[in-house]
Amino acid sequence: MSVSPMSAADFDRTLALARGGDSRAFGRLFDWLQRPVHTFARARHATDPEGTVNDVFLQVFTHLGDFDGNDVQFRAWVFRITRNRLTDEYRLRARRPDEVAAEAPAYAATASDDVEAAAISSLDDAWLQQQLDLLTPDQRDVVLLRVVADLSLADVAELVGKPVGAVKALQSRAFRTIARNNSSSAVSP
Amino acid sequence: MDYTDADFAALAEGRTPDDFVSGVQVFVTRLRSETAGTPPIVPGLALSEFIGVSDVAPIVASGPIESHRRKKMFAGVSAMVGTLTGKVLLGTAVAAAAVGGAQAADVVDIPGLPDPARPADVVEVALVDDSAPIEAPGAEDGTAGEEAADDADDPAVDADDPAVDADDPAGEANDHGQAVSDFAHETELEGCEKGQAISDLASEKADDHRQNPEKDHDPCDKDDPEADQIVDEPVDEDDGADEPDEGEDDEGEGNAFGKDKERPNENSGNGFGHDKAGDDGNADDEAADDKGDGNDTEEEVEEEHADGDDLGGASRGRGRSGR
Repeated sequence: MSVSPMSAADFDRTLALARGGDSRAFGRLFDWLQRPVHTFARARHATDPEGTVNDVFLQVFTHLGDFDGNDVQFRAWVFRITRNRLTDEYRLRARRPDEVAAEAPAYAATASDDVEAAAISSLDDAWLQQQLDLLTPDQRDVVLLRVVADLSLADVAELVGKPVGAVKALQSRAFRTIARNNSSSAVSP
Repeated sequence: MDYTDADFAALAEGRTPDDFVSGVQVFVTRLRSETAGTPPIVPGLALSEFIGVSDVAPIVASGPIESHRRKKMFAGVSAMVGTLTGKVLLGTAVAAAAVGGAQAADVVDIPGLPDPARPADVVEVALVDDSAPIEAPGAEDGTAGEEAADDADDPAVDADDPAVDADDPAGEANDHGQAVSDFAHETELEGCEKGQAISDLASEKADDHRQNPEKDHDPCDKDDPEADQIVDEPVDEDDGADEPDEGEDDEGEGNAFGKDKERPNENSGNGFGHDKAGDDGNADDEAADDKGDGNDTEEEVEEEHADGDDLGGASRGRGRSGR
């Protein structure tokens, strides 16, 4: 799992302590989800992934008193904030293209013609990023929320505001794209 | 995983479904490894105030604090000065000044404190000087202590008060002051008469300073047209205007921190002033206008999103759990 496990009881206890101002509880919540949020931000080509993480958790802790739910719902809430924040960043970029920091060629780039070379040569971050860059924004978000955030199809559907069936289709297409672009064998009939 | 016609075609071409799955498996595995292996980031200053905020409160409340957290704590102290710390320090200063002022006017008898020969830097000295008329009709109702506290807070009282007169030996002034204080406590006079008597006694050595030494009128004489102009007010033992009436709701006026006392715990959850959404039963839910009701409509979600608010509508996390 991408998200380190925290039992429901442990989360409830930690959340209660955090609401009471316990700094250790805040720290636990931060440590629990900072890596997935950071990965999500980097995969989404955030201008400042670490800054995004800080802003997200600042928002989370500021409004912690408004949250009411379990650990899964908390995770969904955190990633909703993360996704919205990144979307706002992209909108700002669109309005001020001359001020936009250089964005990685996320969607303009096409898969390398030499897929095999890419598949063979890369077993690192660049390869992961390449696979994600092959996807549409919606496909990418669904995959990241499913794999990095460890959210269910239903939770992802509610987060992105789409029906469960649509989310399932997006996931399938994304995985097929990745699989298709990483197929190392093509047996001629 | 659902297979399409293309998948079956691939199968027919010799590519088994495992080929499709393996690519996805590698991707998923690596993505999760990438996530787990991401080095932790260093929280920024604002976020550090949350992570270290609980260390500040114990210090203010004289609680223990782990030494290794002190550095983090001081990093966020500047943000706390204007809030909890500032309020506590201010309250402490006011309380100390009030006690000191009350003692100076001999309204409150605090045993153990030196009386006549006090250090010159104690502001209470100026309050018992005999070179100026003493308006002491309020001594009985306890307001003198508050007035003294107000004076004690005002550095100008100490610096500019002509009562602090270098020509008047401190010992003689203190003796006179003690005499006035003793009279105030022991006299059986009441009301305006008492006040006037105290004033007269205090003014025994200040005839030269009287602005109108020839003026002769009885301020307690109700027929005196100038009586209303006298600052001295008749003592009314029932006057509780400045004191909280027992059993009555004074709406927090009797509490120096009345307004703060009625507010919910400001440190709950974030220490930065965001009120809880009614979890403590506080009807004045300031967060209700924000995200407190948990029933955001789609329009509200869109509005929040458009405004750059990253909270998102479902702050109450209504997501369906389970996979």
